[in-house]
Amino acid sequence: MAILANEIDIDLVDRIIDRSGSDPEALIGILQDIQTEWHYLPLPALSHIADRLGIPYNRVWAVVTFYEAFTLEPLGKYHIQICTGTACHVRGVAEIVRALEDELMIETGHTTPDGEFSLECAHCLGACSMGPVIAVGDEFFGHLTRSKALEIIEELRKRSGVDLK
Amino acid sequence: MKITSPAKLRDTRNDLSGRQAEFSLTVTVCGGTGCRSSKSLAVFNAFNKELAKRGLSDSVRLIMSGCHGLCEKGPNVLIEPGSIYYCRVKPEWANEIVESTIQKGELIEKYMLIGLKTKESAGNQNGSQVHPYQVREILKNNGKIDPLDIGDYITHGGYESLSKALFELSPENVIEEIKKSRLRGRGGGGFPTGRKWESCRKIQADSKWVICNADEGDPGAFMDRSVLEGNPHVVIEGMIIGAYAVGAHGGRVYVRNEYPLAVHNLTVAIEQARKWGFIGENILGSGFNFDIRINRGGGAFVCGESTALMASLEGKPGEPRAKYIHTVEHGYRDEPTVLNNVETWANVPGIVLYGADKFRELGTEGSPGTKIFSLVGKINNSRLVEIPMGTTLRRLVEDIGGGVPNKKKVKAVQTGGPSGGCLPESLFDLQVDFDALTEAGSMMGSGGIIVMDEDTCMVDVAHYFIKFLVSESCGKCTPCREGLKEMDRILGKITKGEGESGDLNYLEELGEWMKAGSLCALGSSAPNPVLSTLNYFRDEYMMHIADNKCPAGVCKNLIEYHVIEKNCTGCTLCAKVCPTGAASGVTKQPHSIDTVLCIKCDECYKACKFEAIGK
Amino acid sequence: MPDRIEITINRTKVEAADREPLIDVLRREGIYVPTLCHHDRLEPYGVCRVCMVKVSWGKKSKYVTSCNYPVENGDVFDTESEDVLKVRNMSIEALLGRCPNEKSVVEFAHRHGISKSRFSAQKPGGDDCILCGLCVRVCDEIVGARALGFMSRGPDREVCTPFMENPESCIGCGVCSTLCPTTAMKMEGQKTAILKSRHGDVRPCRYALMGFYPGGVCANSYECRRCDIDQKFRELAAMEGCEHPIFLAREYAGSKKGGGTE
Repeated sequence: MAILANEIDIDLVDRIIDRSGSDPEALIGILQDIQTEWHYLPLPALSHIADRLGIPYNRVWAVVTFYEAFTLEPLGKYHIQICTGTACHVRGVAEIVRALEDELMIETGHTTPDGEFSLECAHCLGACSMGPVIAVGDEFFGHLTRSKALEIIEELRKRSGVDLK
Repeated sequence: MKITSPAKLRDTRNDLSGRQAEFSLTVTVCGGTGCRSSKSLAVFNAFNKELAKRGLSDSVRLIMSGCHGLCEKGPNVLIEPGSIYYCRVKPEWANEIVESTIQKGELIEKYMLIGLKTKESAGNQNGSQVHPYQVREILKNNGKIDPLDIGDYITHGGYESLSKALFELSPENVIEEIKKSRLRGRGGGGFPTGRKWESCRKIQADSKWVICNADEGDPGAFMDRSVLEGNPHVVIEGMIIGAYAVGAHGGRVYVRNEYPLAVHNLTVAIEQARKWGFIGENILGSGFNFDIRINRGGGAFVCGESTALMASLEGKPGEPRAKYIHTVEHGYRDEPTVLNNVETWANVPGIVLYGADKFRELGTEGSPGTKIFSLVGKINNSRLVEIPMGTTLRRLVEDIGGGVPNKKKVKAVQTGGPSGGCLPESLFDLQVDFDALTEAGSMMGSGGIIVMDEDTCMVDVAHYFIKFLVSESCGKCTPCREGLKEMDRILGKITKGEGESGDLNYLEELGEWMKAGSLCALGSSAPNPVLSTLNYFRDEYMMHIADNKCPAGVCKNLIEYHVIEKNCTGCTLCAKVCPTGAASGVTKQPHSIDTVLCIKCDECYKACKFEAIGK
Repeated sequence: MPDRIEITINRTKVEAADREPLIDVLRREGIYVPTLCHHDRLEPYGVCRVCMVKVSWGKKSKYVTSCNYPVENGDVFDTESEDVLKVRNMSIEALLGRCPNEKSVVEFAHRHGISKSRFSAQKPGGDDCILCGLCVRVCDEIVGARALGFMSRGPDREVCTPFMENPESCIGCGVCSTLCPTTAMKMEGQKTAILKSRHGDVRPCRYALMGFYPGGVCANSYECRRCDIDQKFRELAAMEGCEHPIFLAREYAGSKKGGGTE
């Protein structure tokens, strides 16, 4: 699915644009679909979208850097979203953030150099009753403590090992 | 199949109801995000398999509904008739539940909801006790209908209100009714909806718009999401009625992309509504045309602000515009626009169908109707509630939420999200409505209520909200951008124990400036978390500054973990959970904590069952 | 003709056109209110907030930016009371805190009686840019090149070229730096490189037979209308119906000391 940054499948970009009816107002939706496909926004796709939709480059760039959802850095295989909603905050999620950052040796918003994990703080995952909670893809892990959070990382690393075989 | 007249709508409803009556039982699995995250999909699949295995698929109706509201106890399963409510259901239970309850009609006591207040099993009909003190007007079909089946909505009276509006009322009549209901915008500001519609109606223009704001950005709030997930058609119906009233032919729903289920259910609902003839050309044969498109948000809290939202709809960065022109005149695409949030739209069909007087029977004089809240934080029952306006905070927190866990003392609630404020326990008899909350220095916001106990540091909470807002400010105007950054710095200083005596006055000065000088509502309400905590919890700030102490034990630089020897039984639990070996000791002897090794992760404090860890 | 209306400014009755921007009335009446992000030829932007005044109707009042507030009959304005000055001065203090070492910002603050700021700068050593957006807007609205834009949000918001690359659409006119009220927007470093990549280190100047002119804004405000940049302006102006930026540059040169060119 993911292709090297410098050679992206322009046809696929075109199909995504066509699906939206080449509407300049659909820029944000198109970027979301591009990101779903590549797990980040490859630069060559951006200028192509701008050309196709007839939107000035400065607006595309402003949109891409304005919205939280967009990333120009490829996300890891396991994209960990830490809920930092208010309910999770008062239930002590800050400690979970610290534990995961220390364990993975990256700051939130970044990806480990091996491309395995990326950390992101999400404003609310909506699973307030399970707080503190993190989501890895579609899977939720709730009622976290420091040690539980670290166990999850261990578990994911093991899964990764299995995957490689 | 298109429904082309009110008569055909009634026929269809009768027809569908007849078909539903053929089922002897309905099993409803909660499919809200809370329950889904505790794997309710697996529960649904287990029931599906079990019913098929026993050849019951034709007589028992199994649906996955929207949020039931009782998130704390999920996954939840409701069996009707009989209102039998099973909580924390595991897929393995499906076999037993189908055999005993569905086939033999026996209750399985151990799986049932324990009465929320009485701590006793409620027995039969316990499903009716799921929502004590609540009045579910907007959410009444959440948990009853399959959000992916428009037929289910129609069976429950759906689109009857639209039919009434189109064929029995003029646009002016509709607006008159909404005005009479005194419905106020549920998105936070509380602006009278009818007046907004009236201004838009009066403007002559070829093209007008109605927009639904479903960009619920408050952290810890999921009211709008639950409505969209559980009953998307009620929002769509509200929008069509609104469009008819103001004379709009285009609609937009701006929904958070972080709500994939809401996006999906809404997309399906719009497609179905179009197929059945509720949106599109010549709706129900009335000659009125209207269509809706969904726009997924890019993730920006500021897009809750109307002009920012409209910029975002146009595919631009979500920056509010600095213009003294109302969006009802020049809004989306510079055309007249009515923008309301999900819950406001969801209120419309009920008002039109049952009348403004009926609506005003609930709630207070200034804020009629009900309001949905998400009650979360340090509370036993995190959940979605719908209560009449004017219910007290105490009822919400203690009776509905079941109080604070672990015998802690409740300290405050935070309402209104990042633009709201914190209200202390002494104000819990406050009757919640738009005006009472504003007067107390907070605001209604969209309806998130976060409960805080004695272990919550109010300075830390204020800092949390400011940090949130720093990352969400668009950065366009000076007061919001520079003011928030400065507040963040000062609060950071205070929580680190580096606060100075002038800091509190400086924070207040910054707050007043931001309120007066900011370009949009995000900036002008941004100081609220700081100003309200300064107002009600100034002592706590002072303790941080003057005594270098955090009384709640949250601010890491101001606390030191130690063992309270007289309480310590030497159970070794703290030593087991300590990640650095700082907590140690001999079994059955009081333990100790090495403050050099301690990283203040709070694990020992949370683990200790004897209150033997001090900080 | 627009209807004439009556408003009150600092207790004096003044006549104005209905929905005329307040700043125009203030200038006409000789009442000073500072501005930073305002330019007569550009769409009002209303972001620096240093032009704020108080408007009241009976007991109700609010603070508005005079650059884009459309006056209405009966509006009562206060541009000079202590409350108003407090709001305005705090904005100036905030910008001084942001750019504590930027000459023009320091001077501007000083002129308004502010010599020290409690705000701390985001960037070490302070920023040069006050994010007034004049450069971006002139490039969008008048030049039509759209070679500059904003990126990110909140405290990270900054002016940059799209994709952080040399914008192909930049025609190297330098109007952005001419309009910049501080020294942030300079045609040097990365930006001059853009220009040079397009026209070489120097470009031929036919004006007064000067020979070659170093990359940067034309000292003669493109008045001779002969060089290739000027040619581009004409093409753009014809195509997009926008205005030849020399007018802007010329107007501004008079009002601004020590302009942004090198």
